[in-house]
Amino acid sequence: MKKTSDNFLVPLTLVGKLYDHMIKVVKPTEVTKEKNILLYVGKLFPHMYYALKEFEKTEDRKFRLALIYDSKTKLDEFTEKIVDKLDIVIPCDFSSDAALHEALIPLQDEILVLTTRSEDQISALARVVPYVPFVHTPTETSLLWATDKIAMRKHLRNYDKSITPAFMVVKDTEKKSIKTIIDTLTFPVIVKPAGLAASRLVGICYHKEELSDFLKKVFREIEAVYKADGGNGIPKVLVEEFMEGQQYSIDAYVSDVGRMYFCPMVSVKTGKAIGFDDFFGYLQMTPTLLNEESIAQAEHVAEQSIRAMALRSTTVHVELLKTEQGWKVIELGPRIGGFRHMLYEFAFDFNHTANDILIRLPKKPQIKKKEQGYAAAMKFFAKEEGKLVKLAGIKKIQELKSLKKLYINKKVGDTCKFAKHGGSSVFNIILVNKNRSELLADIRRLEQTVDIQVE
Amino acid sequence: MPRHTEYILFITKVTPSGVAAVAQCNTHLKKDFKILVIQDKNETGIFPEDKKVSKILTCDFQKPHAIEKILQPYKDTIVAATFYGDENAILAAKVFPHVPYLLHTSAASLEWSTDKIAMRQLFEAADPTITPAFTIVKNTDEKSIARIIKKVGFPLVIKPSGLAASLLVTMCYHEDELKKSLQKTFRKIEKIYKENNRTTVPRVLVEQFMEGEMYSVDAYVTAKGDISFCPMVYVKTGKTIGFDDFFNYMRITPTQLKETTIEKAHVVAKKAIHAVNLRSTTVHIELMRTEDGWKIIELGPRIGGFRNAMYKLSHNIEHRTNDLLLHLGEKPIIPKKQQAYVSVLKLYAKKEGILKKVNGIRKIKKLASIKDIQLNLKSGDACLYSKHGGKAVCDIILAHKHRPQLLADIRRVEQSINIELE
Repeated sequence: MKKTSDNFLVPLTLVGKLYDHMIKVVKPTEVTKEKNILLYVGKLFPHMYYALKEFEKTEDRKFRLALIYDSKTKLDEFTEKIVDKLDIVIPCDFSSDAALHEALIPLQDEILVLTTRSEDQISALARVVPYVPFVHTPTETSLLWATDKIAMRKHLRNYDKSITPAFMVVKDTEKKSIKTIIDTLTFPVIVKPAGLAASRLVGICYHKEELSDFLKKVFREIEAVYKADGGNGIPKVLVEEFMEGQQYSIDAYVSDVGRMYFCPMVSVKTGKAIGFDDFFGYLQMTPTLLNEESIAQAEHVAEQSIRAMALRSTTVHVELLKTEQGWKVIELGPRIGGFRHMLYEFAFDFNHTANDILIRLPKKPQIKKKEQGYAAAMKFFAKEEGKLVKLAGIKKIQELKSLKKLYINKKVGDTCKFAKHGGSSVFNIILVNKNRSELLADIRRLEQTVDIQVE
Repeated sequence: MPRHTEYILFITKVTPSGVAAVAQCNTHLKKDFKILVIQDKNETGIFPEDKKVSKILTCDFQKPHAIEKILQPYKDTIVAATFYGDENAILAAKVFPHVPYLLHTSAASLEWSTDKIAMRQLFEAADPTITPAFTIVKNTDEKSIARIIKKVGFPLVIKPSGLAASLLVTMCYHEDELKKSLQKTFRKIEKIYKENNRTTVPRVLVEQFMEGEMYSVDAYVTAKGDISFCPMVYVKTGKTIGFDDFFNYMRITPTQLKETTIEKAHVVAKKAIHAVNLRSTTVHIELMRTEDGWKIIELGPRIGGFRNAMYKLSHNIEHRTNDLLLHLGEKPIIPKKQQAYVSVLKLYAKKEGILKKVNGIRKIKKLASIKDIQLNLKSGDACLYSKHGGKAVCDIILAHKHRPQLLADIRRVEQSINIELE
């Protein structure tokens, strides 16, 4: 069946919520020919919706907010909250070229921007890119490189060996493979399953026995986690040399001609730094205490990594390590970093979500470097794994002056696992204060107040 | 007393490694120095560990004439005087004026460099950029609290002056915590001073918390102020492994620092040494590498903890022998060739309580890197955090030619040792 922008047809099998979406899509609109659709892939969170509404005001222009998502997956709870407010919602079978074609070809002349917010939607974005040819996007190839930790390492090392650690790829746990790792790399090493987001199944190994045991565990669990998380491609495991240093991250906007605009840096304290044997991002804070020279060096290395991945017309989130041998790239993704829209809004008063649109127009993003305050995002995990039996102190921490947002992800009875075992945090919190000392004081109060107990 | 006998004077105690250092000096300089120990009669429970080779003199250190009298017969034959341990610096300051023709630092310098407050004041006078903002507190009244907040700001560190290690060192992030911690500190400080046989007046230093990585270095300062540095040591505190305590959890040498970075650390360390006017002494300097450059945490006119063993294993440096050579006016010998990577771990119980059992000791003894395991507490002893005056349950020295294998053995130790509390 042929679809046009004036007459959409959606499979009749769709019911319930999808029926509403269908109505929305089927209903002809009077302004359909205008090139003003901001098309998001996979997810569109409430904060983004409001940021885009603000953007409309700033630009004095109306946009149509659209979401395309894989109809085989459920919308996440945050997108569900906002989905009814969107102008266009396109459920589509991403495994079918025909379905993508039918859904997107009619909108080709109306889509102004194609983007995504989440790390786990990058490969979905890559699927959509070829069907939206008349907008500024990264190439689908560069998107795919950036979602594959192994391809990423290869490109980074090919570009400049000094910015990334030595690594190798493992496909099994045979003695021969372990020996090759030991002969090739220097311990300690980090084990990272390729294609998994965040710090899922990431572990540090200091010696042969630990490596062998951990790899076995990873290969046992990886299939299940890949399935549950929608991990990309055939399970492969990356083993790379561990770099010692202080972790930071930076978001950047890359124009269609390779011009880079850097946002302020964010310091990252991982679970490892507070006694966990886990690499989740415990505390992310901006502005940092880095001096201008250090920031310039970090930006230089980040720029090299973006060029290595041939990324363009996108926001890029780059994770860096400040080592004695200079800045190194941990990894990068063609997306906004987690919590960054809030950190940058509260600390520097600029609209990161809008800038992600501007760079794809392509227009110069509006970055403010003068700090308005200090912002921190924190993820709280249980100290041990088990069933959550108590989450105390939540009411009290809501009295903290710096508290901006609190997201409780687990309730009593839920299973708490470490990030490396595929677990998510018990709660996340955003804190903001004009004064860094007061922000640190509230972080301290928070740490002393919250009691997460498992059994 | 035969005229030809020459003595090396140790103040309060001499360790077996000190005895060995004298023997090495004798070999190196073709001499036959004997060991003389002078003790304060009020310092109970501290005795030379090798009585066979020591001559022990005991007197009341509070009375200069008593020191003078007991040293009088030996004064012409003492060729060098030294001491081990931070806690003996003040006692050395009482003895040194009685042996004026020897190479040692001044009593005033010893006092300044063992008093956290005087030290900070002198650092600030020499170069304010090498030291954090600080203030001195004698009580917990509102005025003091207001002054701390205005002058220092949060986060800050409370450090009782004159206490070694991280005794009662507390970090505070806000006013309530500051008030409570200060009250607690002033309550406990008197007791700890008494237990540690402190004769100085308790005062509390409150300084700005410096964010960065901690390192330390030992140096030899000649009578003319020339300084030779030993290799740098990286220090991981309890804070970085999840404890709310500043004990030195792990020390490791050599570090991964570049030559240029080390040179910058040396410049700052030199400023600190010269700021407190130290001479003819070994100095232990603790530094923080911050984004604004190297800063001094503190220094001591002494050999750093475990440094004798660490430098011997890492570079074949005879640290105690060098300390004696320095006091004898000889040049310390610092071999540059690295022999191994060395680490010292101090393991504390995760919580405070009564020690029941330490599991895994037998297992870790088999590790290739293990050089020494020292159990400091036994079943039934109280396990306290360092800030509460506690000691590590055990100290472990590891060394390996290859850094990755040393790190692997550290990991095995961490995973094997289980400190059980009742």
